[in-house]
Amino acid sequence: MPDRLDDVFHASHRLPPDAASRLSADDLSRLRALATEPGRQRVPAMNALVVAGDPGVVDLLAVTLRDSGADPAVRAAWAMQLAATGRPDAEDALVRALPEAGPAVVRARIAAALARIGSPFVLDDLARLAGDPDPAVGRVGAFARHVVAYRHGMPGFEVPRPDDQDLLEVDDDHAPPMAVGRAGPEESAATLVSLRNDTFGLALSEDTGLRIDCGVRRMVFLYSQDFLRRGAGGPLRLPMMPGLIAQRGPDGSYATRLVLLAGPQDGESFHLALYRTDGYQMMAGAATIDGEGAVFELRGVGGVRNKLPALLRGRIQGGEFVLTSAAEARAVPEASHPTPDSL
Amino acid sequence: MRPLRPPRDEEEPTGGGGAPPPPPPIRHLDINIIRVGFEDFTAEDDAELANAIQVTRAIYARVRLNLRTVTFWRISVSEAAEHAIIDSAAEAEDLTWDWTVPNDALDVFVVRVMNDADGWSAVDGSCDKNSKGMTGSVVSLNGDAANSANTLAHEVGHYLGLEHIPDDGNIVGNNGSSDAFTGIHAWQGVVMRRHCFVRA
Repeated sequence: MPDRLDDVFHASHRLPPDAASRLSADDLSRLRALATEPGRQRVPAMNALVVAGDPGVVDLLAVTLRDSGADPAVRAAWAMQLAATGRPDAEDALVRALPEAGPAVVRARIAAALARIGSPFVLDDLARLAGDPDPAVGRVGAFARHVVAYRHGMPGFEVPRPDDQDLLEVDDDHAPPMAVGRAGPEESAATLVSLRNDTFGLALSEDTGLRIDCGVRRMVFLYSQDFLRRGAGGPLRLPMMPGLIAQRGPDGSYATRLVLLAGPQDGESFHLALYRTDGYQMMAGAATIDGEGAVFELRGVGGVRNKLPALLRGRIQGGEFVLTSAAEARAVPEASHPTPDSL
Repeated sequence: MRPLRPPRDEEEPTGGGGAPPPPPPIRHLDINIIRVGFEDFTAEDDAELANAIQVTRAIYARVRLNLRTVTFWRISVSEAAEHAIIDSAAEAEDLTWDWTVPNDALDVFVVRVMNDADGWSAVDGSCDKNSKGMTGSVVSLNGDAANSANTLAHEVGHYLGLEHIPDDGNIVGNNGSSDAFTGIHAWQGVVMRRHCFVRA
């Protein structure tokens, strides 16, 4: 007879939501025991508890996250699982773990988790993380600070604006086609369900979105309800997050890949920045307000790991983005190379 | 995308006159195993990884696909930064986007811990490792030895063109919940042997 927890431990990709919903009180009790013991089953066990919304899961995660003797990779994973719970007490658990965070991977993942769920109360903590001597922690900490401030409409935390020479050129004539169209309510709603709590704290609209097909990749831009309500037909007085881009994975599920930030620039325009979820600024640009809305242009930003030679031009009208031109270079230039090794 | 149903024709001649067809020639696959955050790998992790390679080699050999050269590479904890763990398919793609071994073997990134999955891979992935999309497989050591072995065979199988199937016991079977399964169909070998990373 198959074990009731087979679905949890046999899933190679994301745990189907119905598998989590079938778990009984006894199953959850067994999973709690497995998730707190050092062993190979703790990661899928904890994942199942988070997906199932187990009421005690935040406490379980917090204990190990604060345990300086625990495996750093597990602690880092637990920080992200805390964000995935979507629970209000997760932020407090993350902040309390900071003084004992230790390894850089744990500090970076606490910052990344706070980017997803942080309130304005964590901005001081994120400022300290942004100044961390480890470059990765500093990058993610700065990104988290931007995200929290923009999400909450707080001025004074503007994203860095790249110089013109740092913006990448794209050969429009030789770029592979990028198809952009409106995503209907069904597709937007399905994407939203698939994201679970991976929404960077945004209340996203399930009524409309943008579908982006680029080569083998399918992405959906989901608007924040705040953006749709406020629109962008006039001067943007406060920073905001208009939405995010979710990418479809090989199993058909969606994960957040990029987040869009927008903030005031001057009376006639506002700045736009598209960030990868690990804090690399991928594209930057501006929108200029005209009589019918705004016209915008976004270009890829050069950097060590994040070169995306891409160009997006379009309009914001009626509270939505309409792309008039989209191009992306064929290849990713200059990836880093691992070091030869032996086992 | 590859068809779910087995292809009807082998790529090699099938002989004639009622004699059993000759077996197709052995084909070869070279892979790069890249330990991400290598300093944190324990002896137990390395043993599990070595076992996974051995089991995968045995599974693929049954369909005359030889896991020929396995070359090892490493990314340090400080280089890997937050990607020493993987939290989503999007992060797995970021990892394969940021890092590439400059040779013509398939890149397989190994992380010790992965949230929400045991591994991620493109299906019928590109052989141009500088192209867009997921240009390698990413596997974890989330499970026990048998599970990790399946994860390696499963994700590399995806990259070479296999999709999930319902069959119980198959490396990509049970609709993806394939746990420690080691079964493989001959037709899956045909699919994998056609991939551009596979050499004559």
